[in-house]
Parts: sequence; structure tokens; C-alpha cells
Amino acid sequence: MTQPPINLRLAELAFKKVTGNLTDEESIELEHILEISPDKRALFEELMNPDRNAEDLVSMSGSNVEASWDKVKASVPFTPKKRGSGYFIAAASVILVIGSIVVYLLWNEKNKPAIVQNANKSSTIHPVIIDSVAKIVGGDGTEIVVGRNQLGIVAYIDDKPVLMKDHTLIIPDIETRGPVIKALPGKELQVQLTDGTRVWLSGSSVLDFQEGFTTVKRTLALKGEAYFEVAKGADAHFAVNARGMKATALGTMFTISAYDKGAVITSLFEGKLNLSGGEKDMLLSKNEEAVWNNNKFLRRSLPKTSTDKMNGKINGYFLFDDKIKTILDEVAKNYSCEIVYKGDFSDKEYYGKFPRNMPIDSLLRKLSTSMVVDLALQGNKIIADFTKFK
Amino acid sequence: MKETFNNDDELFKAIMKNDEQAIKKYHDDIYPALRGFAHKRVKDLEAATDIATDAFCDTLKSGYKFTDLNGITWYLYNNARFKCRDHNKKKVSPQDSPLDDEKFLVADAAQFENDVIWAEFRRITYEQIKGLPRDIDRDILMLALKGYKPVEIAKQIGTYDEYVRTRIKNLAKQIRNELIDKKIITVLILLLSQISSL
Repeated sequence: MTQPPINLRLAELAFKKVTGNLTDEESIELEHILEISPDKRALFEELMNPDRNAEDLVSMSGSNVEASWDKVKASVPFTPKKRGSGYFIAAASVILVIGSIVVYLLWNEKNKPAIVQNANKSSTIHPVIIDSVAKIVGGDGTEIVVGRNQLGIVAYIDDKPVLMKDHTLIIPDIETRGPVIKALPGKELQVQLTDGTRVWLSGSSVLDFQEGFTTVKRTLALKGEAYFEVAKGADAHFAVNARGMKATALGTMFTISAYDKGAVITSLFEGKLNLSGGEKDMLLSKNEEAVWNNNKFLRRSLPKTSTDKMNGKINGYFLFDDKIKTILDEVAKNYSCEIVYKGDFSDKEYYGKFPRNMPIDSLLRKLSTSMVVDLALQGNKIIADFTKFK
Repeated sequence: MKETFNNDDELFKAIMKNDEQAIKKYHDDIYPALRGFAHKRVKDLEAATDIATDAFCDTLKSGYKFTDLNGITWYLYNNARFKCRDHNKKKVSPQDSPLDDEKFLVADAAQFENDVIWAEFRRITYEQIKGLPRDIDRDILMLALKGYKPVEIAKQIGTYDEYVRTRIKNLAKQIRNELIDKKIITVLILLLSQISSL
């Protein structure tokens, strides 16, 4: 008897399509197969249709499996299962343990002490924890730690006050060879500059006012990652130097990620941005991203998740919607940690929202549970072990 | 105490020893998809329900010496296929002479292959949802599949809609990851090779 050829390749391509791993070439190949085989196209479209998928899965959940099994049991004789004395010992142990817990809980309930009034007790005082978020390091090396919940003057730069208001550090005009502001690991800091520009500085990142910063000379340097909302209306260009690359704008919204390792990535959400590095220049437009690596610029469209991530940064949360490795790399950068990977993780993706400024151990614990990966902190290293869940 | 089987091979060996727990596990896994397969063919849910159960009983009683779990799965679908054909025969008017077995197999080959792919895709995805360790996750996903909005699901299960939205996105990704890990394509290819060796 003859059979039509089984199109295994179609099954493979359909699977890749379902799991989002279809390359451009494979997409063309798939389209070709579907073109020459209308019945396969019908099947393929049915499998890819989310409404049909949902309908079929709901219908499957409605099938009365137990009723069918009762009929099967009535019609087919099974080999009876032997239960040795071990079964009864195990069952007796379980009953004993459960019984003990119930008795203990009941006893505890009965013997709970009554609430004691504390009217005669002496009062105690605790210092306010300032929730340190950043360090201001002066040109002379003096360091001042500032806290998120401080209010009012937190330091002076050249006799001008630095204020903390509404969790934002407000920096005055800096006319001298200026100070450095370091966000502590895992702590995001919101900064307002003297020209009205607002900066959201990621954990372990540094803003360096080495050339001073005034309304007529708006230049600073960045190490790490920050989102800038540049104030409009000023005559002087706003410039950020980041690891050999310079971004210049008038009024715009952009993010620069310039950690010690890897490329410098500039994402532009509004306006235009002029980038220069080495002997290269690039004019970046809205919704574009530039990757600066090995003295070369690469232009690409802004990933779909960038705006959500930027909103997350402004509103104080991490928005993760990426491959697990990318997410863990971001966490490590924010908390100034190294990361060590064990096992295979390349294809896995994850979505999640977490408050920034969370202690790293809490964040790792939460990620570990939901990502199905063992995350442990050893000193300054995050160990991401994917082998334990295989 | 519920027995667990680490892989298809263990499950297959237990089924061949007529182990009730193993057969129940296999039945519970495949029955919804088998009923879906039959429903596609006979367009009558009540008949499809009976066909799926009968096909399962016939397969157990067949005495056929299966060599692996895919062999049993193929036999089941094939048995259900003929039962559907017989059911549909009853509805055909006398002048439309029904196809004999040989002609039916040839004429139905491509459609059968498509229907098995369809049913197995559904089965494996449904298994992933059923296999979610937390009741709340299964409930959220099934309600979402039924078309409820996150706000409605949140009200129903007593949580925040933002939590529901986040869980749905994560569960979809988790299921996708697990489908990649389980290499469902390998399962389908093995099953299809059984059909092609007819």
C-alpha cells in the first residue's frame, strides 16, 4: 500500500513557529511548503490560530476523563497491586504524624497567653534608617552618603546646598572641577540637574561632573546606565561622555548603557541625538538604538520592550521581558556582582516586574522561584545553576 | 499513593505489565485528545466520547505486541479512525457506497496524518497546563483560555489584576520553554513514522 510522503519538515517548521524560533530562511521555506500543499496550510493555520487553540484546550478540559476511566475499568481486568506490610507501616506513620500535629495545634490554641497591656513598660527608641542610595564624592575625596528618605539639605558643593526632595537629589550649579555621584549597588537614584534635566541613575552607576555643570555648560560623564530627560530651552547642548562615545542633544529623552564590559548602547525615545566616537558620527532618530563597540556604530530599531523598561525605571521597578541570561546580566550589573552560569539556559525567557532598590537576596529568591533556576549569592558572585532543575 | 513514571519507557513497561496505575495515567493523558480527534471526524460530541473510550478498551484488549508507547498511541488513533468511519457510514445514504478498508486508508491517509498532528499538538500543550504545580496557575490559565479578562480572573480568584496579567505572560513563556525542552517535534516525528510504516 502506498502512502503520500509524510512532511516531517512541515512538522519541524510548525514547531519552530509555535516556539518562536523560526529564522527568516525557514519562514520562506515554510511558506513554500504551504503554497504547494493546501491541506497542510489549513492544518498549519488551525494550529497557529490562538482562538482555536484556546477553544480546543477548553474543550479538552471539559472532557469527563473519570467517566471514561470507569467504563475502561469495568471492561478490562487489571493485575491487582500487591501491598506489603511496608505499605501499612508507611500509612500508620503518616496517620501518627498528622495526629501529632493536630494535637499540638489544638493544645497550643488552648494555652495561648492572653494579651498583656504594656501601659507600665518603658518606651524604646530606634534610629531612623536613612535607606542609603548614593554617595557624593567631592573633588577632594570627601564622601557623603545620602538616603532616599532624607528631606532637605544633605550636603554642600562649593557652599551651595545639595537637596533631597521627593526622593530626588537636586544638584546646584557646579563651577569647579566637580564631584562624582555614585548610586549604590542595587539602588536607583533620581537626580535633578541645575538646568532642570532629570536623570534616573541605575544601581552601581556613576555620574561624573568632572568639567563642572551649569546651565551654559552642560557636559557630564557616565559609567553604567542612566535614563535622561534633557530639559528643553537651554542654549547650550547637553552632552554625555560614555566610554569614548559622546552623545549630544538639546532637549530629548534617551538611555545610555555604558558598563565596564560590552558595548555602549544608546536608546532614543524622543527627538534626535548626535553620537560621536573615534572618527565616527551618527545621527540617531526617535525609536532607534545605537550600539557602539570596537569603535564602530551599529544602528537598529528600538526593541518593543524598551519603552516599558524605561517607564519601569522612572516608576521604580525592574521590568524583565527577555531571555533569562539577559535579565540576570542586568541584575548583576545593577548590584555590582559577577555572575557565574552553570548548565544550559540559552532558550529560556521570562517576564516579571519587581521593585528596584530591593535587597539582592530577596530579588534572587523571588527570581529563583519563578524562573526555575537555582540562584545563590556567594560573596560578590551570583551563581545561576540551571542543572538542579533538569 | 500515586505512582510516578519518570519517562515514557517506564510508563510503557508498566502498561505492558497491565499495571492499573500506569494504564490510568496513560488514559487520563490521552483521552481528551483522542475524544477531540474523534469529534473532528464525526462532528458529534456524544459519539466522540464513546468512540474514544471504546478505542481505548479495544487497544488494551487487542493483545498486540507493542514495542513502545508511540506504537500504542498510533494503534489508538487508528482504531478510533475506523470507529469514526463506521459511525459516519451509518449516516451515509445507501446509494453512496462506502469505501472499503483499502480504499479508505488511501483516501484518508493525508487527513489522518493531519488529524493526528492536530490532536498530539493539543495533547502535549494541555499536558503542560495540567502539569503546572500550582492550582492557582492552572486556574488562571484555564480562565484566560476561556476568554476571561485579567480583571475578571482577579475578581474570581481574589487577587490583583496586575498579578494575573504577569502570571499569564510568565505561564505562557514557561509552557513554551517546556515544549522546547520536551522536544515535541521528536514525539511527532516518531508517531508519524509509525503511520508511514502502515
